[in-house]
Amino acid sequence: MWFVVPLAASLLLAKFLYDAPRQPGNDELMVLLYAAATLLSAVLLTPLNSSVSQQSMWNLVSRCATAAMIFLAASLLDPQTRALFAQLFLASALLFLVLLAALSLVFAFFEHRTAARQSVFSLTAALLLAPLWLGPLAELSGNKPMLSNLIVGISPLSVIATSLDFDYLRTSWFYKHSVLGSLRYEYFSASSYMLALIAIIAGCSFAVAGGKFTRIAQPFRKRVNAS
Amino acid sequence: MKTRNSVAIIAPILLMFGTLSQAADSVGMDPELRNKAKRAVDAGLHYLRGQQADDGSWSNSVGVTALGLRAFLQSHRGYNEADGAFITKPIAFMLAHTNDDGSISETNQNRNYNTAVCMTALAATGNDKYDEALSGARDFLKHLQIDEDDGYERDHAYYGGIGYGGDERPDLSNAYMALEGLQASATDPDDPVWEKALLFVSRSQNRSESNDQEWAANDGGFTYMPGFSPNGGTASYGGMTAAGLLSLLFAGVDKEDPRIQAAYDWIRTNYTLEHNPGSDGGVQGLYYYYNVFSKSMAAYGADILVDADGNEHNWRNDLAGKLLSLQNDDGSWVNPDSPRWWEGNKELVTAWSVIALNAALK
Repeated sequence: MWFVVPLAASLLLAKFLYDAPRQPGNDELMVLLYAAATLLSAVLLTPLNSSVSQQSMWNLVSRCATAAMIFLAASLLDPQTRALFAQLFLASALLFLVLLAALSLVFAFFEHRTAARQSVFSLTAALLLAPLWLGPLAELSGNKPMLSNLIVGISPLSVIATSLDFDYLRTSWFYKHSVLGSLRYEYFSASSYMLALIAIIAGCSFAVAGGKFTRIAQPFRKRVNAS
Repeated sequence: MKTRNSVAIIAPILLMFGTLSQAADSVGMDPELRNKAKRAVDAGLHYLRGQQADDGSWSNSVGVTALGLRAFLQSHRGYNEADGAFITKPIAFMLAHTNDDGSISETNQNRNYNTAVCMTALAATGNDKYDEALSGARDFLKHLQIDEDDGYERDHAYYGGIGYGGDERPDLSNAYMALEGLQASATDPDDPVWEKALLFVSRSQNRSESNDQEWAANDGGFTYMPGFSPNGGTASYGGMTAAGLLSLLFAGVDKEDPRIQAAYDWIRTNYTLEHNPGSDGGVQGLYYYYNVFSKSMAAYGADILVDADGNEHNWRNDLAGKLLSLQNDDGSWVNPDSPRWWEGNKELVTAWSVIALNAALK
């Protein structure tokens, strides 16, 4: 149940980000951001195939200290850059957690781990590049705003871009290779992304937990039925 | 003494003849077509009036609202704020989206376009009440311009350019809109913003004598941005060439300047209103082309264009005739063949078409 810690941290962070002013300056908010981000980074630095409970206390403390050092260094940045850094980190961390959650989910339900892992990574790549290969669909549909927004929105790149207030689809490379740059679209808001990503993580966690419960309960049920 | 007296008498007469001759050269729209074009404008405005939201906006977009407002303000009807809420509400809508940095936009994307078209619309009101908003918007656009503050030196292809506002990539379309906004809001002609912009605009022209970029060809037309055209390579095309010519004029370049003459020659020799010349399939950005073509020819002072085959064209007649033929029964216009650059949006395209007709009617 390694999801619990980052999930709690993400919820806490999302709560404060939801009403956070776009311009930095709220010191209390920044303290909370850093605290939560430190916690998240400590968990993220944990090897993928281990759970928090399996780590020694000293190991966990050292990871937290490393993460704290990173954020202490970040605190030397100017307020605006700091705020962007915090938002960027949060977006990246949540995306990473979504990836882990998706992997856990497929591992829980499919026996062929390699194929499952490849499927998740292929899907991630497809979503990353959605503005490129789904862009023509938005154009053919007559630039329906809902469809264009969805195509832009499902790309993890858009999560990162939103956290930075950066319109990546109008950068040279994307403008040249994706028709979306010349269409009407809107990025989803940062708060929408936070809630959506947390919902995905929670959904995967419950599904994994449900799957495990079913497997645990199965022999018990057999015994009950046999008796 | 006698000679001096003769000169004193003859000179004003010659001057008068010269003026009369110039007036005779000025060819406007055919009177019958002129009336039809005015009716088309009225129908377009009627359509826009019907689509206006309760808050005065169109398409829930600051940019489309500004263009819609401009269509009304610059029409032959001479609408102004005294005409009622359909004029004052869109102004209030735009101003309600004024941000701390001076931009006027509801979104992080298109901040330049939105701010620039708002400046043009606010300036078209002629009301000095909006000077403060215009001043803030002007500062925003100047800040958006890529220069040393952004770490770019003068020899960089992006230097002096202006982009959408959500990134650092400039293009001629955004730059032209920004320059139009700056010009409409009476920006000081000595402001460095013009000189820097001129560098970028020149670097978007296929004219190697004034463009230091290696890719520059020599047809005189303009491409989308230094080194890139959406129509492949660095090909010149109609929309951008008209935008380039207009940008040069905004920046104070003399009409006889070879850069302007080269652009004008490109427009002349590639003259057509059947499609956007040089663009992919000719349908992409078609109404953008009509809009900027009309404004550029009006600003340049062209009446008759002679194409590559030596045929003369009264562009005002041709443009009005074309737009009349494309107008829908409900008074709107839309590009049914390509939604790129928002041309699938009836309100935007109708506003653009009315503005194009307004320029042709003047």
